[in-house]
Amino acid sequence: MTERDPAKPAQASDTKPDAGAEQALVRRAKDGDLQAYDELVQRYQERIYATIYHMTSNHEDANDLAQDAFIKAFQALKSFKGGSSFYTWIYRIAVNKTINFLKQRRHKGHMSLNELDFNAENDPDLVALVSDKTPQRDAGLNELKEKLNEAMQRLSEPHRLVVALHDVQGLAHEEIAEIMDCNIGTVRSRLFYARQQLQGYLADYLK
Amino acid sequence: MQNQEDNFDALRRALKLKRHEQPPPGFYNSFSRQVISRIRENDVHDRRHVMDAAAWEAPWISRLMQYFQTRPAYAGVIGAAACVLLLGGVVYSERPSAPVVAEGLRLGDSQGIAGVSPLANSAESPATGSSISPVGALPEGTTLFDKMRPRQTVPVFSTTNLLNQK
Repeated sequence: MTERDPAKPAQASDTKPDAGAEQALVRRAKDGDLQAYDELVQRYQERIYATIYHMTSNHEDANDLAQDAFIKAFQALKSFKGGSSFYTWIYRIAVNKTINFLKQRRHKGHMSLNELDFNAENDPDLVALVSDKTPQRDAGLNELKEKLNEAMQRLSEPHRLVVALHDVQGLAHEEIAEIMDCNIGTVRSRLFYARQQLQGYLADYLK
Repeated sequence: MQNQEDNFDALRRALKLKRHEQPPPGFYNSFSRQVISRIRENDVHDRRHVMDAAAWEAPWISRLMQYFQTRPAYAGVIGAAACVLLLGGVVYSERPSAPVVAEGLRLGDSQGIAGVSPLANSAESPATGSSISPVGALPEGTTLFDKMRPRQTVPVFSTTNLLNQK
């Protein structure tokens, strides 16, 4: 299986051309066909995992929560009426699971930072950001990443989710509104507030 | 709005860094397999839960199962005995006549069976009709079960019989 380029943001619209095939897979999975469900999992695993990871900043937690979300979705598949796309539906399950988990974990403030992948060091935007704009010129990518994660964890869950879905994963406001079950104005205002907060937390690194 | 986007330009470029945070190589190759295997495990667990619930409701079932699990020969003998009994019962019920019972019943035809009042043969009790007549009075060649059936169909103390009698 080929893995997606991490620098390219995931788009819900990527799946629209074969929506018919997706519906057929959902129908088969509803009848208990695990092979069909396996295909659905493979379609969305990267995006679901990435969203959860950007919310938790922890690989193990993201792995467990993503698996739990897909298992819960399979168990609840009978109740999926098709009012929204399967993509939105599974996203909602994953997001709700993650928010519940974070509420329980809030007191711990636990964070595990995974290694950056090789491509990050070659990203011109990031190299410029680290070497030219930061006051501490010796601050490396890992330090910036660490500070970013710390700043993200200081946001409330809805604000963090909007940033993760829009600025990191590249989803449109409309898609985020559907996933979060709120209107687009709310998404925009949350995004603006979250960016302001992050800007404040990372002032020393972004000037 | 565009101005706002420009204000956050540095932040947005920094957030791009998070796109490079990836799980270990090959992680996605096994992810769906793990999900599917956990779904299967849950399914098996649910079935076990049903068995456990049954054992909780009737503990003797689980004790019996454990006993037979350690002694499969006993389970085989008991199973074979049950089969023989079942087959014997079927064969016996399908036989044209049961010799011992039939002999006694034939005697009852003319002389009555020992210990049974020959009331049925008496003309003094016509109202009772066939409801108390001995089964030996039925035609020969029918099985015991066939002979029993007519008794069940005839009303013994129906009000119509009593009215007719009057």
